[in-house]
Amino acid sequence: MEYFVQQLVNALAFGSEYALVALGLAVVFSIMGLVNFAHGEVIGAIAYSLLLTASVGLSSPFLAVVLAVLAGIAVSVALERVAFRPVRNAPTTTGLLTAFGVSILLQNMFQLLISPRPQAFSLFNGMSTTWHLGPYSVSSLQVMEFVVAAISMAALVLFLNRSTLGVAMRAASRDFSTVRLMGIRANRVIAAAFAISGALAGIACVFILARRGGVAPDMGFGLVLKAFVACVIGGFGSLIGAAAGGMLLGFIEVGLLAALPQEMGGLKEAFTYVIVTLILLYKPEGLFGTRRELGDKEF
Amino acid sequence: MKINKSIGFAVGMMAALPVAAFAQEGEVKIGLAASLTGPYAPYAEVEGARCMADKLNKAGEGPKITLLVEDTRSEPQLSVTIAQKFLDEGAQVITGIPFPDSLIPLSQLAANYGVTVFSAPNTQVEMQVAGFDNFLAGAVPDPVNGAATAEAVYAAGARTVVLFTSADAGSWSEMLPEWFGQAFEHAGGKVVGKLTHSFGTTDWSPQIARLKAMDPMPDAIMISSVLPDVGILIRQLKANGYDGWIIGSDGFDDPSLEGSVGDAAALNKVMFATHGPTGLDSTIDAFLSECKAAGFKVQGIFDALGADMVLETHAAAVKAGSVDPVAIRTALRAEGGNPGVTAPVISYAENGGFPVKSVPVIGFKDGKRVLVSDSMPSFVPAWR
Repeated sequence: MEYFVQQLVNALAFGSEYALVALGLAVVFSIMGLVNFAHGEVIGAIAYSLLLTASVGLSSPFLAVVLAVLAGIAVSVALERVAFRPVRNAPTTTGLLTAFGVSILLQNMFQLLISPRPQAFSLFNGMSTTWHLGPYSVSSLQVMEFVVAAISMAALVLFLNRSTLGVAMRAASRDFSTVRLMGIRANRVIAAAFAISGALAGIACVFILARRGGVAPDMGFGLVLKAFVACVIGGFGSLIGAAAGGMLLGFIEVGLLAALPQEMGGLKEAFTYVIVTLILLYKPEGLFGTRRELGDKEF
Repeated sequence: MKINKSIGFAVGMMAALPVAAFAQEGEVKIGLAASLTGPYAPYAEVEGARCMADKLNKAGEGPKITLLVEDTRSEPQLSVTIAQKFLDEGAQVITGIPFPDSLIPLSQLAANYGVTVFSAPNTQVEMQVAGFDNFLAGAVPDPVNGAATAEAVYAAGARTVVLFTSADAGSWSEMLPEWFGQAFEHAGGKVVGKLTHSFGTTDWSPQIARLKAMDPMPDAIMISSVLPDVGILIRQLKANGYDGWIIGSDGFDDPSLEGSVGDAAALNKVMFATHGPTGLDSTIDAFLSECKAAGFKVQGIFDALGADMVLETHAAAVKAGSVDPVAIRTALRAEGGNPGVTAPVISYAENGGFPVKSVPVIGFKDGKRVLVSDSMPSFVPAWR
C-alpha cells in the first residue's frame, strides 16, 4: 500500500510538471496555431538568468521565484516580437520551422556564450526535503509542484473566464478576425498569450532547477517534447486537454516504471507510445479536442 | 604553479632523444570530430589535446602537431562527415564521438587512407570486438572499469547491489553495470535487482520508490550514466534517506559532479572508476593546472586522455622517424609503449586495441576526492 501511494504521488508530480509545460505550449497554440518548440529554451533562458543573478549576489529563493516568472514573461514576449510576429500570417509550417530555428539558436548561444557543461545552481536545493506523513514519506518538492500546478491552472481558468483580455483570448482562439472587428488589438492578445506562456515556463523552471540542481543548455528541450505529446493526448488547442494530457502522460510513465517487470524495463518508452497511440486511435482529436472534418481523408 | 615533473620529463625525453634520428620537418595532423556541444560535451578531450600540442610545438622537437577540430554537436552522423573532411585534409590520426555508432564508420573510412582512429575516451567493448586494425582506444574497456569498482565496494563492505541500466549509450550504460554485477558476485556479493532509466532523467522518484519497497534496501546501487543525471540521482537518493553506496563509472568524473550534488556529506558513499586520479594533487592535476595557466579551458580526466593521444602520437612519429600514418600506428603499438599523461608509459603491444593501465577508483571524504584503489582488478568478466 505504501509503495502504491508513493508511486501515486510520483505520478502526480510527473504529471504536474508535464502539465505546466504543456499549458505553456497550449496557450500559444490556441491563439496562434503555433507549436512553440522554443518553449524549452525559454525555460533554459530563465535558468541562465537565475544563474547569472545568483553569481552576482542573488541569495533569496523567494526573489528568485519572482525573477524566474518575470524573466519568463520577458523572454517569451521578446521572442514573439522578434521571431514569431514576422511569420504570423505565414503557413503554420513556417511558424513550426521558426520555432525549431529559435530553439537551436538559443541552445547554441547557451553553449557558446556560457558553457556546454552543466552549471551547478543550488539556490532552490532547500525546496527538496522529505516530509513524513504517518507511514508515508513524500518529497516536499513533489507536493509543492502539484499544488502550484493546480493553482496555476485554476488561475489561468479564472483569467480566461473572468477578465476582458482572457475572454478576448478565448474568442481569438475560435475566430481571430471577428475579435479584431470587435476592436480588440491582435498584438495585445497574442503578446498576452506569450506572456502567460512565459510565466508558466518560469514556474516550471523553478521546479526543474530545484530537482536538477544545475543548468544545462538543452535542459528544456526534452521536456517540451513530452509536453507536446501531452498536448496531443489532451487535444491540441484545449487548455484543459493540455493539463489532463500532462497528468495522463505522467501516470502512464510512472505506472509503467512501477508495473513493468525488471527485465522489460527497457521497453518503457515503447509501451508509453503504444498506449498514446491506442488513446489516439480511440479519440483521434485527443481527449478534449474538437473533431474536424477531414473531407476525402475520412474513412 | 606546481612543476609537473613526470610529464615535463616525458615531453623533455621526446625533445631530446630522437633529434639525431628524425628530420625536424614534417607535420602530424590529428583531426578531432569532437563533442564540443550536446550531451557528451562534458567528456570532450579537445582542450587537453590542444594544450599538449601547444607544449610539444613550443618544445620544437619532432614533427609539428596540427589539430583540426570541429564540433559534432554529439551527433554520430555529423562526426562521420567531419572525419571525411579531415581525411581529405591529410590527417594521420582522427577521432570521433567515443561510441561505436560514430567510431565504426570512422574506422571503416579511415582504413582506406591507412589512418588511425584514436578515441581517447572510448571504453566500449564493441570497438575491441569488431577488431579494426586501425583503431586504438585511450582507455581500458568497460568490463575492467566495472570489475575495479566491484572489488572496491565489496572491500568496503557492500554485499547486495541493485543495477541501474539504460540502453541510451549502448553497452557503456547497459552492460557496464552487468559486468560490475558479475565481478561483484564473483567476489561474493549478490545482485538483488535491476532497474532501468533513460538519459535526461530529472526525477528518479519511481526508481527510488522501488528501491524503498525492497526489504532490506540494497547495500549499493550501480549506474553508468552522464552528468547531471547522476548528480541528481545522488541528491534524490540521499534526500529519500538512502544510506548505501552509489557506484558509478567514468561518467561521474567531471568537476561538475560535486556542484550538482551540492551537499558534501551526500558524496561520502559515492565511488566511481575512472582513467586517472584527478582532484588529488596528482601529476594529472599538475598537468591540468599548467594548461589552465596557459589559457586552455581544461576540466578533468578527459582532457588528460586527449593529451595522452597527442603525446603518444607525437612520440610514435618520432620513434618511427616518419609522419606516414601506418608507420605512426606501428610505432604506437610497438613494444615498450609511449609516454602519456595518465600513466608514465602507455603500451598497446599486449592488447592491440586498448592500453595496459591500472584503474583508479575514486571515493570522497568530507566532499573531497580520495583515491580508494589504483590497480588492475583480479577478476574481469569474459567479454570478448
